[in-house]
Amino acid sequence: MLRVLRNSQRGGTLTGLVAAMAILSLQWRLPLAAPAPGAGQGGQALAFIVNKANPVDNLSFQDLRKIFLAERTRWPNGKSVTLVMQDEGQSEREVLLRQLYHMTEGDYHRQVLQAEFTGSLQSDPKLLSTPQGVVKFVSFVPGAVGYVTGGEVSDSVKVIKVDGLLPGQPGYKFNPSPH
Amino acid sequence: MSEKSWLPGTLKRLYRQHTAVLSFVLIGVVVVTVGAFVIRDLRRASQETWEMHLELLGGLDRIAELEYQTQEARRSMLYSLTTHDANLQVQYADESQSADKRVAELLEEHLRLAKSSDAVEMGRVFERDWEAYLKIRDSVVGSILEGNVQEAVQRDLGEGVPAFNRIRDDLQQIHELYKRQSEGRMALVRAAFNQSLVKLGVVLALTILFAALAARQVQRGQMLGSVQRSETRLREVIESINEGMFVLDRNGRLEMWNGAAERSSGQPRNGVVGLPLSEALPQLAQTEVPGAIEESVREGRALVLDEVSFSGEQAQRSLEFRIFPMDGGATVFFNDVTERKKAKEALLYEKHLLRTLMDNVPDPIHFKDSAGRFTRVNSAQARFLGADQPIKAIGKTNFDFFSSEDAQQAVAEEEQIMGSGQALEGKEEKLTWPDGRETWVSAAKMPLRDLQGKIIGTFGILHDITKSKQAEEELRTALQMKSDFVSFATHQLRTPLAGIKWLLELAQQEEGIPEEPTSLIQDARESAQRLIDMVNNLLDVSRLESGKLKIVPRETNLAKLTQTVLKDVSLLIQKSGHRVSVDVSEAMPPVMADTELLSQVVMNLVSNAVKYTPPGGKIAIRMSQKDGWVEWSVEDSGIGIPKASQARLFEKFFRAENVHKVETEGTGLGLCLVRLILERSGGRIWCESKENEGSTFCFTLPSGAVTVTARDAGPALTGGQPHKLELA
Repeated sequence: MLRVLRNSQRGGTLTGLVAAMAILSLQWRLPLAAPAPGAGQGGQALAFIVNKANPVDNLSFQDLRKIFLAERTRWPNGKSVTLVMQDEGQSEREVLLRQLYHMTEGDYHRQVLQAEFTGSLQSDPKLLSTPQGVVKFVSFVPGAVGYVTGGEVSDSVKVIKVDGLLPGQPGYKFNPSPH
Repeated sequence: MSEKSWLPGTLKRLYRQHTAVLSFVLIGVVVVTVGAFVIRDLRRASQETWEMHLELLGGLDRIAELEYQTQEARRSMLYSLTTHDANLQVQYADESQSADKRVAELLEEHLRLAKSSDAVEMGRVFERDWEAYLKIRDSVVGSILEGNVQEAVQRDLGEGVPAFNRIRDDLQQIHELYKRQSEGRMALVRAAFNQSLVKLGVVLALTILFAALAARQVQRGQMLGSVQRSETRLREVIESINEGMFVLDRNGRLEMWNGAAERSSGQPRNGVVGLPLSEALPQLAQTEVPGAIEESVREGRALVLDEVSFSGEQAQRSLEFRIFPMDGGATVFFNDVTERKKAKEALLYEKHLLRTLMDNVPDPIHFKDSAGRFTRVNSAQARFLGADQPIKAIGKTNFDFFSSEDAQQAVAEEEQIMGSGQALEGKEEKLTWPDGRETWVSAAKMPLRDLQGKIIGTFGILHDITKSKQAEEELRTALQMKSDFVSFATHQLRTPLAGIKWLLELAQQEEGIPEEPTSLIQDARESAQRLIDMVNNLLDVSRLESGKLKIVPRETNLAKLTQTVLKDVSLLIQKSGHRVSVDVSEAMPPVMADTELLSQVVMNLVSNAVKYTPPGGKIAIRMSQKDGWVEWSVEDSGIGIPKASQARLFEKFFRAENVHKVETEGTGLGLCLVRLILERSGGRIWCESKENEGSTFCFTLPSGAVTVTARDAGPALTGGQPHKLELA
């Protein structure tokens, strides 16, 4: 889709726009077409994103927790894991602490300090203020992994499945609660 | 004739007639055609230059922006090294990546717009190097974001900087390529422009060449036309002149023979042209003309033969020849001067006559210029002036010969003659010589005109009348003596005659004298009276002639005076049975005259009319006025006056031949007295008469200031008709 938009910019904004709309409408009508990651009901779900160069597509909930707890610091391709966190007070951070860490903010801080002392945390988690910053950071750093709501995901990053499920899919652990 | 045969001729004629127009049309076509090509080339070169300019500008702009964007990408990347804030690092990384996108767009634009394969290739090289750099850059950025700054710096220094330098080199090369291409294109454009200039130069050269050819053609045409016109005009002139003309070529053959030569010689042109002179004109060959022609040609100078005589069929002819050498031949003009020769001889004869006249006439004749200088005098004039030869008087004036008063008088007269153009004839002049001698001349002086009629001086003829003047003076003295004697004699006669008459009247009054002596006394008394009248007339005439009779002019009513005279002679009129009429015009002015003498005039004229008109005749007296003069006339139906006597009618003692028919007595003094009175009174008298039919005597007198009407003449004249009165 990004390529289409780029092409549309060559021939002119209007032509590109028309073409993009046509493709969008086509994708919307074709039931076989895969929904965009994080789109639809997944728009409010918490999506875990990695660099597109990262070979990992799926992680189990436990593996994901280990990565975020700095218990696993390297990816299967050998690249070191760089955690990307959002600033305190962000709703996504609260969802992550609650549903992945099962911790409060204080617990998390203690956990990080402990990891630093034990040396298991090779580098501090990167703190970013906005979901867009998270997405861009992940897109720049091959070993980075971060989280954003599904609506913030762009194609510059890759959304990994958690237990084989993408955000918004039934059973996905980080879907927004009905309440 | 078919169209093909005349068409080329027509075209040739059109070309000859319109060479200039056709040449300029041709020039115009060439100029427009080549000019159009040149303009097209120039437009193309201009368009290419403009496109090249735009392309170069666009390319250089792209290169400049590529340089900027690449540096921006790198600069943003380097900024991310300066902070530990992940947000800022991400922002810088994002900005660096945005610059990447712009670089990609510019590169794509470059590849799309580049004209040459070199530029495209260079673009590909740049693209490759750029992608390589981006990989390094992304790796460095990743390291920075991961927090591995040292690793990032090392990576950038080791790989990023060389890669970016390659990028810069690539852009520099593209820049150089654009410049080279621009220079190449500029060289092409310059070559095209130079080519256009060469074409333009060729066009200009061709234009100048065609213009020069056209101008030359026009000039030749004009010169040819001018020469043709000149030749035509020359031929017309040659044919129109009255002089014969022929031209001989260098071989002595006739080339030209004009119309006057044809008419003069009787030889037609086609009979002589082309022949040698001796064959063409055998008569001429026997004269000195061929020799003169030969001499003229040999010496290269013109010759004139004044008179060449020919014995023609009817008479001798004389021709004048003028020979002009020309191109080895000669042009000869000849003219029949027979008449001119005759005229010349006649002129010479006239001059001879004039000279003879001038030399032999006894009267002095002279010619003067406008300054009064003698220009020509005859022998008599020379002698008159005291010069022994006429030449010695030439250039001199009257001041050289006469007293200054006489000379001044002559100058004044000559100026008057030249100013008025009127001759001065019969003027008697007394000339005083320096030695005191006096000479009387009767001079006739006239204006001298040149051939155009302009007055250039005077000429005169003098007649010496000194002797006749002396005789006239002597005669005048004698007449005066005679007049004095008559006056004296008559005056001395009057007293005794008056006494005789008085004694006879006394004797007649005596009583007792017998009838016969009484009759004798009566006759004697009448005779005495006639004698007294005659003596009175003689005395009057004498006094009038000598000027001793004093005339006292005053305003006199001539009509009234006539009435009085008619009363005096009314008895005589009645006795003769004449019918007398008086016609006086209205508004008659008085006359200025001596009344007594004027009465005598009217009395004489009326008495004559009565006496010389047979009984029962008609006498008409008329008075009128015109232009300040009063005219008085008396017309009778009398015996008239013979024509031979009319001229002497007013002379003293003259009596017409036929007066004896009606009267034997008379002195012949009456009309003389009338003439003298009228002349002394400023008037004049004349007579018109036919013998046996009647006479009319008229006189005029100057009118006075006061105008009188016919009524003033009195009732006898006015009667019932104020203007006309008849007496029977």
